[in-house]
Amino acid sequence: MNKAISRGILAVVVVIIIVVAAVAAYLILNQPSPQQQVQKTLVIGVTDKISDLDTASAYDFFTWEVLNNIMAGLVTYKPGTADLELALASSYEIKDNGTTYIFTLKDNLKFSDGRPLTAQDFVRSINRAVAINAPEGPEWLITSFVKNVTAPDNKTVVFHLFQPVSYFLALLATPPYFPINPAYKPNAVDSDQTAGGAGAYRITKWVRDQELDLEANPYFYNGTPKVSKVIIKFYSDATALRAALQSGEINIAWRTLNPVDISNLKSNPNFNVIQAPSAFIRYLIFNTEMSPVNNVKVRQALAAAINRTDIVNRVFSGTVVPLYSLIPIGMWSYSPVFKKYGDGNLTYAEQLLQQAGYSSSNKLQIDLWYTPSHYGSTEANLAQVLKEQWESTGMVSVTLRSAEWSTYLKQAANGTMMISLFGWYPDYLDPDDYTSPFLDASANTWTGSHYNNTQVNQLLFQARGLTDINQRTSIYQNVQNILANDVPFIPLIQGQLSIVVAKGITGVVLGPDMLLRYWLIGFSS
Amino acid sequence: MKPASHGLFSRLISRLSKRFAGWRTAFMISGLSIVLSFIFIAIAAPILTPYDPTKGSYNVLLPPSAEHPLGTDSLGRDLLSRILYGTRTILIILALSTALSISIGLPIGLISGFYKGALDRVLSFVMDSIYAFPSLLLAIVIALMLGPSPLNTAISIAFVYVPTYFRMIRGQTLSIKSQLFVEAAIASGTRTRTILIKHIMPNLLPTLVVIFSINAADTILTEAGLSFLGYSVVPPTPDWGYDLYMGRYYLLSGYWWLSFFPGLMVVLLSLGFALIGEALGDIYNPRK
Amino acid sequence: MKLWKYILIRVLLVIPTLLVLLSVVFIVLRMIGDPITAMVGMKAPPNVIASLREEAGLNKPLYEQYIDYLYNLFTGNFGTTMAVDHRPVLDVIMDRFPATLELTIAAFIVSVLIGMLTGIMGGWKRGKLDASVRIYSIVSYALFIPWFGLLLQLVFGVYLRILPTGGMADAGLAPPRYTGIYVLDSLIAGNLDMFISSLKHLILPALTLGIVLSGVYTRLLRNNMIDILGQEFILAYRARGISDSKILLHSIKNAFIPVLTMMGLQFAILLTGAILTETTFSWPGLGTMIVERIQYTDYTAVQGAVVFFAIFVAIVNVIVDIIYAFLDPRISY
Repeated sequence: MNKAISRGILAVVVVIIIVVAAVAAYLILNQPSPQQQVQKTLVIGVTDKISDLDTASAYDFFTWEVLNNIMAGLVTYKPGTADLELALASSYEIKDNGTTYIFTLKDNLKFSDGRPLTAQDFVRSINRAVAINAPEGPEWLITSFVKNVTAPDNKTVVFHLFQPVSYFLALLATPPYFPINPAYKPNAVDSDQTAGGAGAYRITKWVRDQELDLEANPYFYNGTPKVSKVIIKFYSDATALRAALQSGEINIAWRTLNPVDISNLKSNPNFNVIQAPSAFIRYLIFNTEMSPVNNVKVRQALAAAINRTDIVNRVFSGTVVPLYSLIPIGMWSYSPVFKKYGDGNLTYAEQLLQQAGYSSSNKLQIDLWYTPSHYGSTEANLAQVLKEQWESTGMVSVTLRSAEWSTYLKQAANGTMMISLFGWYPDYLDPDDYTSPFLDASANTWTGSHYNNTQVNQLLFQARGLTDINQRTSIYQNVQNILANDVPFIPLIQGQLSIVVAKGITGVVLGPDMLLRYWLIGFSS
Repeated sequence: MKPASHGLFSRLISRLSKRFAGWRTAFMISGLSIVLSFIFIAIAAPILTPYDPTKGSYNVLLPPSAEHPLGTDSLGRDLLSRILYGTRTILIILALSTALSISIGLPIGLISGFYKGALDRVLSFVMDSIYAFPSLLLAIVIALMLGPSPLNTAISIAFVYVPTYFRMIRGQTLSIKSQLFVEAAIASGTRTRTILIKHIMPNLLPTLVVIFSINAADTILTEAGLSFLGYSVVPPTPDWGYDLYMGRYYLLSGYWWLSFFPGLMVVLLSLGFALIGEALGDIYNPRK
Repeated sequence: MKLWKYILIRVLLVIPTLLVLLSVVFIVLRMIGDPITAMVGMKAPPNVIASLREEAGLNKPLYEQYIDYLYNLFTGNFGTTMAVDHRPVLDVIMDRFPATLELTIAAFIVSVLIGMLTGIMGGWKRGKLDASVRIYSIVSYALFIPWFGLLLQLVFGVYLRILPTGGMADAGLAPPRYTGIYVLDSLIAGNLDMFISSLKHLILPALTLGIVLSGVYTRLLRNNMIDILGQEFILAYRARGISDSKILLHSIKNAFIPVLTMMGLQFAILLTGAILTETTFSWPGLGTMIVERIQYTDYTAVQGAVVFFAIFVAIVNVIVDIIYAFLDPRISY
């Protein structure tokens, strides 16, 4: 290197330093406020991800929410309730003892790009989802119930079912039944397709894991959205989401803030916290064949020692509610059967443990399993608090064990975990989805509970075929009572949806379907 | 009770450094005092704090006070106790992983450097390849494979540092082997095992100490990084990286102490070893 | 020519290096939990799981899996992700890689700049300044990235509110994608708002990682400067009355060459730091991708990303070695 080069290097270094300093100074002095840039745009922040923008393969809550905003189906939930109302359909009738459903469509339906939408589009979309049969996909929501779907004319959709299904209308509100734009690849999953369907919004831009831009669909069947531009921002963790809310970068922090942030933001005058019960439940699974929890007295004692209020406060900062049955609070037939054990009822727990032959010198030795990341950052704390509560009887010694999600699932199915923490999101809002997958011996192998009660199996089978809600209610109440006696599972808590919005945001409606409807949200003037 | 109370030590250090007129001594003394106070904390933890680091209470998220000098965490545990006992966790992992790295790196480095030949070339090549790989990523993947426990964490960290020990031991062996007294021993027909154990091994000791002190600072950071990402020990075992990770969720709600103090401990301990390493590194620089 | 021969050998050596790394990755990753169960979830019937295992080739003997694995990698087939999106792994990696590249380049520039400034100052001036430079190099080396990043976030993001604490751009200001490097894309798009937004988001992560890595350069440059300034020819220059600024330039030039080798060695450390920095600042790069995919137990995605890192490191090291061979004629090859 000669002198010229070295002088050149020095010059470059000096220039870089000056430029960096100048830019930094400019940024600090001339800071554009984020609120100014997003005046009439609604920005919603999430930590969730969009899996596929395709009804044939998407099968997670957040993607379903987005699909519900860019697509529509025959029926939908009335915002904020578990009641169904007609959407793209104008009327329907049920024939043949509940095995035939005939829907008439509204007039002049159009996709969000202006193409006409006919009954054939329903048939095409539904058959496509079935034919693609995506791995981990939702097509079973169709194939388990629907024999075939036809379109006798442009305005009529007919479903023929294998047998009567008491909750078929609820199934029709799920994305696999939505009509999708013909632009979707006909024979394969079209993950990044932004054509959508006939929803309130259409997509203008999508950068995976970073940003989704929406604009109002001028052809929407149900009026004009309050805000014409919506941006969904994706954050990789809850702390970043909260920081973005506080810096004004986003107007709404949606799924999922940390519990502590939600309770902390409640006292912040710049934000409103809106909460609604969700259909998500958390519970413990016992391997009822593994010693020592094969003793029902032991399981009952552990149920009595659990203090749900303490869990709600210390682990979840008060953002969830205690749950005393596998059927969630607010759903018909719910009965708080585990209340009979009390909450943190140590006297009763000790009594039961003594009956089972344990004492403070001869302690019950148990393993509690959890999976560290699948259920959020609070999971390890949940396990630790349960350990504390059980050990405060003085007769129990708990070993905590953890495994990553895949190993965890495998161990559950193999029945190698003594006690494990799990959670359940429903596929459809019906007590059947909260009982059969756990208590019906033909459906509960995934839990590893080895629970098999002939009476329960029969009751559940009977309820599935009935249409009368009163008859079904009494059966599910009966099943819940047996559950509380046998204790193969212990319900812990029910989730709560929490959404934090900046002051001046209106129209945020949350219901049991857990989906946010962007088109109802607006700015108060 | 904080480790390495700064005022006193810095005065001591500056006085000492003037007397010895060398930063090397100052680094050595301050580094040693930090590390020794951490070892003391690890041993004396039960005396220094009345609380059980794993036992929760209803006093959650209390700010630092006379009763809880560093406050309490979200489950109502005394943070000072968790930090003091956390010293044990990290020092145990450090000791285990070092022992493992040396017990693998030393023999193969010795053999590789002494016999040379094809084996040496293959071993050196494999070790160099692993050495160039991002260490934390490798440790994460191994920790994930083994599942969380102090021993498994130690194994995954040890794996990452075997190449470092191997390279240094091999290099030293080569240079010692060419020295006169070893050549003389070989020429006089001394058994190879005797040469390795009696002549070469004792001369490797200073090298080992230097690499250890430099590696230790790195190991502390790697362990903390692993547990920060959730791949180290199972809670409720007190662990700085994990506490920092959990505390981060509470930061924006104003509970700064939950993440600040565990992170500070990581930095202090790592600094202690880095200071010793810097002092020794003046004598011998293994990075070259 | 000898130099060309060296370069050829160096490039060819990448193949066995990669083979070693890929084998390590294979051995380690094949022992994590069952990827198929993770993929289909708990609601899948056992026969579905069995057929998927078959499809993924997981019931073949291990050596056949190994050969398949190598064959696929060398034909550029990284497989399809097993969770969330089911896209080609290479697409997912390419979505994320530019973000990591942007962060590492920025951090690299920061670390070399700071390292050069402090190192040269310390080596030239000695005395008290030198002492603080040495202490700086040790302290910065001992800094724990998530903790240091947190402090910067608190000060600049939460209290002063002048810099964002996470992400790559403000809502609506993500530039159109040309290279995926936001700072560059916003310039190509010619949008000043976007450029400022991306630059603002880059500052804290780049400073965090850059400062932590700068200590090594500080130390190296300082030591080299002192070596060179102590050499006889410098004394001779001084005796001849050559100006200080010329001597300084001369010594910087000579002190800089060994720093280049260090850059190669530092590269792996840079990537390690990037994983922690990305997690701390929720930066959507490869590091956060690996952490996320491990949470989903998305086995092919994790494997793909780790393999990608291995290839990347190997290539960068070759390039650094070659540049070094050009610059320093004393190297033996």
